[in-house]
Amino acid sequence: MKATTSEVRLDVRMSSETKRRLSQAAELSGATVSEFVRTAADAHAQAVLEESTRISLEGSAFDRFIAACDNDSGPNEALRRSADRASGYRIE
Amino acid sequence: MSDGRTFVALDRRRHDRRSFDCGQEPLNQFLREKAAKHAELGVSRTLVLPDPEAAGDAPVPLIAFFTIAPGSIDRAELPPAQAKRLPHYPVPVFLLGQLGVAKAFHGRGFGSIALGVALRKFAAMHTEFHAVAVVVDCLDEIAERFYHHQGFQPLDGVVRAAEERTRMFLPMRDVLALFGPTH
Repeated sequence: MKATTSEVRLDVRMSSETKRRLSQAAELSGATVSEFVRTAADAHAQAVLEESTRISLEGSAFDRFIAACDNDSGPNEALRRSADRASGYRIE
Repeated sequence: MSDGRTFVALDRRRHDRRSFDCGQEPLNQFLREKAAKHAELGVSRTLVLPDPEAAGDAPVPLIAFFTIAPGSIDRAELPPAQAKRLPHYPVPVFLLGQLGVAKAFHGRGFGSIALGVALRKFAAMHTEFHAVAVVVDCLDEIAERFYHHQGFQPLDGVVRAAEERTRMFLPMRDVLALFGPTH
Protein backbone atom coordinates (compact mmCIF):
# COMPACT_ATOMS: atom_id res chain seq x y z
CA MET A 1 0.00 0.00 0.00
CA LYS A 2 1.31 3.39 -0.93
CA ALA A 3 0.75 5.72 1.99
CA THR A 4 0.81 8.75 -0.29
CA THR A 5 -2.11 7.59 -2.44
CA SER A 6 -5.32 9.19 -1.30
CA GLU A 7 -8.29 6.87 -1.18
CA VAL A 8 -11.66 7.47 -2.75
CA ARG A 9 -14.93 5.61 -2.48
CA LEU A 10 -16.82 3.77 -5.19
CA ASP A 11 -20.37 2.62 -4.56
CA VAL A 12 -21.49 -0.27 -6.70
CA ARG A 13 -24.97 -1.76 -6.88
CA MET A 14 -25.21 -5.53 -7.24
CA SER A 15 -27.64 -8.36 -6.64
CA SER A 16 -27.68 -10.01 -3.21
CA GLU A 17 -26.60 -13.20 -4.95
CA THR A 18 -23.46 -11.56 -6.33
CA LYS A 19 -22.75 -9.97 -2.95
CA ARG A 20 -23.06 -13.35 -1.25
CA ARG A 21 -20.71 -14.98 -3.74
CA LEU A 22 -18.16 -12.17 -3.30
CA SER A 23 -18.30 -12.57 0.48
CA GLN A 24 -17.80 -16.33 0.24
CA ALA A 25 -14.91 -16.01 -2.18
CA ALA A 26 -13.31 -13.28 -0.07
CA GLU A 27 -13.56 -15.42 3.06
CA LEU A 28 -12.09 -18.38 1.22
CA SER A 29 -9.06 -16.36 0.13
CA GLY A 30 -8.62 -14.80 3.55
CA ALA A 31 -9.35 -11.23 2.47
CA THR A 32 -11.98 -8.72 3.47
CA VAL A 33 -14.72 -8.17 0.89
CA SER A 34 -13.30 -4.71 0.18
CA GLU A 35 -9.79 -6.05 -0.39
CA PHE A 36 -11.09 -8.86 -2.52
CA VAL A 37 -13.21 -6.64 -4.75
CA ARG A 38 -10.47 -4.02 -5.05
CA THR A 39 -7.80 -6.55 -6.07
CA ALA A 40 -10.01 -8.47 -8.47
CA ALA A 41 -11.46 -5.39 -10.15
CA ASP A 42 -8.05 -3.75 -10.52
CA ALA A 43 -6.50 -6.90 -12.04
CA HIS A 44 -9.37 -7.17 -14.51
CA ALA A 45 -9.14 -3.46 -15.37
CA GLN A 46 -5.43 -3.78 -16.09
CA ALA A 47 -6.00 -6.83 -18.25
CA VAL A 48 -8.68 -5.02 -20.27
CA LEU A 49 -6.51 -1.93 -20.73
CA GLU A 50 -3.48 -3.98 -21.74
CA GLU A 51 -5.30 -6.44 -23.95
CA SER A 52 -5.62 -4.01 -26.82
CA THR A 53 -1.97 -2.93 -26.77
CA ARG A 54 -0.13 -6.09 -25.81
CA ILE A 55 0.70 -8.83 -28.29
CA SER A 56 2.15 -12.22 -27.38
CA LEU A 57 3.98 -14.28 -29.95
CA GLU A 58 4.88 -17.96 -29.89
CA GLY A 59 8.54 -18.40 -29.04
CA SER A 60 10.00 -19.05 -32.48
CA ALA A 61 7.72 -16.46 -34.09
CA PHE A 62 8.96 -13.87 -31.58
CA ASP A 63 12.58 -14.71 -32.44
CA ARG A 64 11.82 -14.36 -36.16
CA PHE A 65 10.09 -11.03 -35.48
CA ILE A 66 13.11 -9.67 -33.58
CA ALA A 67 15.47 -10.89 -36.32
CA ALA A 68 13.29 -9.24 -39.01
CA CYS A 69 13.35 -5.95 -37.08
CA ASP A 70 17.16 -6.04 -37.14
CA ASN A 71 17.27 -6.75 -40.84
CA ASP A 72 18.56 -3.83 -42.86
CA SER A 73 16.63 -4.19 -46.10
CA GLY A 74 15.35 -0.62 -46.07
CA PRO A 75 12.00 0.88 -47.10
CA ASN A 76 10.63 -0.15 -50.49
CA GLU A 77 9.71 2.16 -53.35
CA ALA A 78 5.99 2.33 -52.44
CA LEU A 79 6.77 3.34 -48.87
CA ARG A 80 9.18 6.01 -50.10
CA ARG A 81 6.37 7.39 -52.27
CA SER A 82 4.01 7.41 -49.28
CA ALA A 83 6.62 9.33 -47.31
CA ASP A 84 6.99 11.82 -50.17
CA ARG A 85 3.24 12.30 -50.49
CA ALA A 86 2.92 12.82 -46.74
CA SER A 87 5.49 15.61 -46.82
CA GLY A 88 2.79 18.04 -47.97
CA TYR A 89 0.69 17.20 -44.90
CA ARG A 90 1.19 17.90 -41.23
CA ILE A 91 -0.23 17.14 -37.82
CA GLU A 92 -1.38 20.00 -35.67
CA MET B 1 -10.48 26.35 -40.58
CA SER B 2 -9.16 23.28 -42.29
CA ASP B 3 -6.74 23.58 -45.21
CA GLY B 4 -7.17 19.95 -46.24
CA ARG B 5 -3.52 19.28 -45.44
CA THR B 6 -3.54 19.25 -41.66
CA PHE B 7 -4.38 16.25 -39.50
CA VAL B 8 -5.85 17.23 -36.12
CA ALA B 9 -6.94 15.34 -33.02
CA LEU B 10 -10.47 13.99 -33.30
CA ASP B 11 -12.90 16.41 -31.66
CA ARG B 12 -16.35 15.00 -31.03
CA ARG B 13 -17.95 18.45 -31.19
CA ARG B 14 -16.28 19.69 -34.37
CA HIS B 15 -16.01 16.53 -36.45
CA ASP B 16 -18.79 14.63 -38.13
CA ARG B 17 -18.25 11.04 -37.00
CA ARG B 18 -21.72 9.83 -38.00
CA SER B 19 -21.51 10.41 -41.74
CA PHE B 20 -18.02 8.89 -42.08
CA ASP B 21 -18.03 5.79 -44.26
CA CYS B 22 -14.78 4.17 -45.35
CA GLY B 23 -16.55 1.01 -46.53
CA GLN B 24 -15.45 -0.94 -43.46
CA GLU B 25 -18.16 -0.92 -40.80
CA PRO B 26 -15.83 -1.93 -37.92
CA LEU B 27 -13.68 1.12 -38.70
CA ASN B 28 -16.71 3.41 -39.02
CA GLN B 29 -18.00 2.10 -35.73
CA PHE B 30 -14.65 2.57 -34.04
CA LEU B 31 -14.56 6.22 -35.15
CA ARG B 32 -18.22 6.81 -34.14
CA GLU B 33 -18.24 5.08 -30.79
CA LYS B 34 -14.77 4.44 -29.43
CA ALA B 35 -12.08 6.73 -30.84
CA ALA B 36 -12.93 9.79 -28.70
CA LYS B 37 -13.43 7.67 -25.58
CA HIS B 38 -10.11 5.88 -26.09
CA ALA B 39 -8.37 9.24 -26.43
CA GLU B 40 -9.92 10.42 -23.14
CA LEU B 41 -8.73 7.23 -21.44
CA GLY B 42 -5.25 7.69 -22.87
CA VAL B 43 -5.38 4.31 -24.62
CA SER B 44 -4.86 5.72 -28.12
CA ARG B 45 -5.00 8.92 -30.15
CA THR B 46 -7.06 9.41 -33.29
CA LEU B 47 -5.99 11.97 -35.85
CA VAL B 48 -8.35 13.08 -38.60
CA LEU B 49 -8.09 15.00 -41.86
CA PRO B 50 -11.13 17.32 -42.07
CA ASP B 51 -12.67 18.07 -45.46
CA PRO B 52 -11.65 21.65 -46.43
CA GLU B 53 -14.80 22.02 -48.58
CA ALA B 54 -17.03 21.93 -45.51
CA ALA B 55 -18.99 25.13 -44.93
CA GLY B 56 -21.06 26.54 -42.11
CA ASP B 57 -21.23 25.57 -38.47
CA ALA B 58 -22.24 21.95 -39.00
CA PRO B 59 -19.79 19.22 -37.88
CA VAL B 60 -17.02 18.89 -40.46
CA PRO B 61 -16.95 15.73 -42.61
CA LEU B 62 -13.69 13.78 -42.52
CA ILE B 63 -11.51 12.65 -45.41
CA ALA B 64 -9.42 10.18 -43.41
CA PHE B 65 -8.49 9.11 -39.93
CA PHE B 66 -5.93 6.96 -38.20
CA THR B 67 -5.36 5.81 -34.64
CA ILE B 68 -1.99 5.43 -32.95
CA ALA B 69 -0.95 3.91 -29.64
CA PRO B 70 2.12 2.59 -27.91
CA GLY B 71 2.09 -1.18 -27.48
CA SER B 72 4.35 -4.12 -26.80
CA ILE B 73 5.17 -7.56 -28.12
CA ASP B 74 6.39 -10.32 -25.85
CA ARG B 75 7.54 -13.90 -26.20
CA ALA B 76 4.87 -16.26 -24.93
CA GLU B 77 7.42 -18.88 -23.92
CA LEU B 78 10.85 -18.32 -22.45
CA PRO B 79 13.71 -19.04 -24.83
CA PRO B 80 15.43 -22.42 -24.48
CA ALA B 81 18.57 -22.46 -22.31
CA GLN B 82 20.96 -22.52 -25.29
CA ALA B 83 19.32 -19.37 -26.66
CA LYS B 84 19.36 -17.43 -23.43
CA ARG B 85 20.85 -14.39 -25.04
CA LEU B 86 17.78 -13.93 -27.19
CA PRO B 87 15.48 -11.26 -25.81
CA HIS B 88 12.13 -12.42 -24.43
CA TYR B 89 11.01 -9.39 -22.43
CA PRO B 90 8.28 -7.25 -23.95
CA VAL B 91 9.67 -5.06 -26.72
CA PRO B 92 7.92 -1.76 -27.43
CA VAL B 93 6.11 -1.25 -30.73
CA PHE B 94 3.91 1.45 -32.22
CA LEU B 95 0.38 0.36 -33.06
CA LEU B 96 -1.39 1.80 -36.05
CA GLY B 97 -4.70 0.31 -35.05
CA GLN B 98 -7.08 1.86 -37.49
CA LEU B 99 -6.72 3.74 -40.75
CA GLY B 100 -9.70 4.66 -42.88
CA VAL B 101 -10.39 6.88 -45.89
CA ALA B 102 -13.93 8.06 -46.68
CA LYS B 103 -15.32 6.31 -49.77
CA ALA B 104 -15.82 9.62 -51.59
CA PHE B 105 -12.05 10.12 -51.43
CA HIS B 106 -10.93 6.61 -52.41
CA GLY B 107 -8.40 6.30 -55.22
CA ARG B 108 -6.71 9.62 -54.51
CA GLY B 109 -3.77 8.42 -52.46
CA PHE B 110 -5.13 9.40 -49.05
CA GLY B 111 -4.39 5.92 -47.66
CA SER B 112 -0.69 6.22 -48.38
CA ILE B 113 -0.68 9.87 -47.28
CA ALA B 114 -2.25 8.94 -43.93
CA LEU B 115 0.24 6.06 -43.56
CA GLY B 116 3.15 8.39 -44.35
CA VAL B 117 1.92 10.97 -41.84
CA ALA B 118 1.47 8.29 -39.17
CA LEU B 119 4.96 6.88 -39.76
CA ARG B 120 6.50 10.34 -39.61
CA LYS B 121 4.72 10.86 -36.28
CA PHE B 122 6.13 7.53 -35.01
CA ALA B 123 9.64 8.61 -36.06
CA ALA B 124 9.20 11.77 -33.97
CA MET B 125 7.84 9.78 -31.01
CA HIS B 126 10.73 7.34 -31.29
CA THR B 127 13.08 9.71 -29.45
CA GLU B 128 10.97 9.15 -26.31
CA PHE B 129 9.64 5.65 -26.94
CA HIS B 130 12.14 3.30 -28.58
CA ALA B 131 9.95 0.98 -30.61
CA VAL B 132 11.32 -1.85 -32.75
CA ALA B 133 8.44 -1.94 -35.24
CA VAL B 134 5.12 -0.54 -36.36
CA VAL B 135 2.23 -3.02 -36.12
CA VAL B 136 -0.99 -2.63 -38.13
CA ASP B 137 -4.33 -4.43 -38.00
CA CYS B 138 -5.77 -5.60 -41.30
CA LEU B 139 -9.53 -6.11 -41.38
CA ASP B 140 -9.63 -7.50 -44.91
CA GLU B 141 -7.49 -8.57 -47.86
CA ILE B 142 -7.56 -5.10 -49.38
CA ALA B 143 -5.84 -3.74 -46.29
CA GLU B 144 -3.38 -6.66 -46.32
CA ARG B 145 -2.48 -6.00 -49.94
CA PHE B 146 -2.05 -2.29 -49.24
CA TYR B 147 0.32 -2.83 -46.32
CA HIS B 148 2.17 -5.66 -48.10
CA HIS B 149 2.74 -3.30 -51.02
CA GLN B 150 4.18 -0.75 -48.58
CA GLY B 151 6.68 -3.32 -47.28
CA PHE B 152 4.86 -4.66 -44.22
CA GLN B 153 5.31 -8.36 -43.35
CA PRO B 154 2.76 -10.66 -41.71
CA LEU B 155 3.10 -10.94 -37.94
CA ASP B 156 2.83 -14.69 -37.47
CA GLY B 157 2.40 -16.73 -34.34
CA VAL B 158 0.16 -14.35 -32.38
CA VAL B 159 -1.07 -16.08 -29.23
CA ARG B 160 -4.71 -15.64 -28.26
CA ALA B 161 -5.61 -13.49 -31.24
CA ALA B 162 -8.92 -12.07 -30.10
CA GLU B 163 -10.42 -11.54 -33.53
CA GLU B 164 -9.85 -12.99 -36.92
CA ARG B 165 -7.68 -10.19 -38.14
CA THR B 166 -4.26 -10.25 -39.66
CA ARG B 167 -1.53 -8.21 -38.09
CA MET B 168 1.42 -6.97 -40.08
CA PHE B 169 4.57 -5.16 -39.10
CA LEU B 170 7.24 -2.85 -40.49
CA PRO B 171 10.66 -2.63 -38.81
CA MET B 172 11.19 0.76 -37.17
CA ARG B 173 14.54 0.85 -39.00
CA ASP B 174 12.65 1.40 -42.26
CA VAL B 175 10.63 4.23 -40.71
CA LEU B 176 13.76 5.89 -39.37
CA ALA B 177 15.46 5.50 -42.75
CA LEU B 178 12.66 7.65 -44.19
CA PHE B 179 12.11 10.05 -41.32
CA GLY B 180 15.28 9.86 -39.28
CA PRO B 181 16.78 12.67 -37.21
CA THR B 182 17.99 14.39 -40.37
CA HIS B 183 14.44 14.82 -41.66
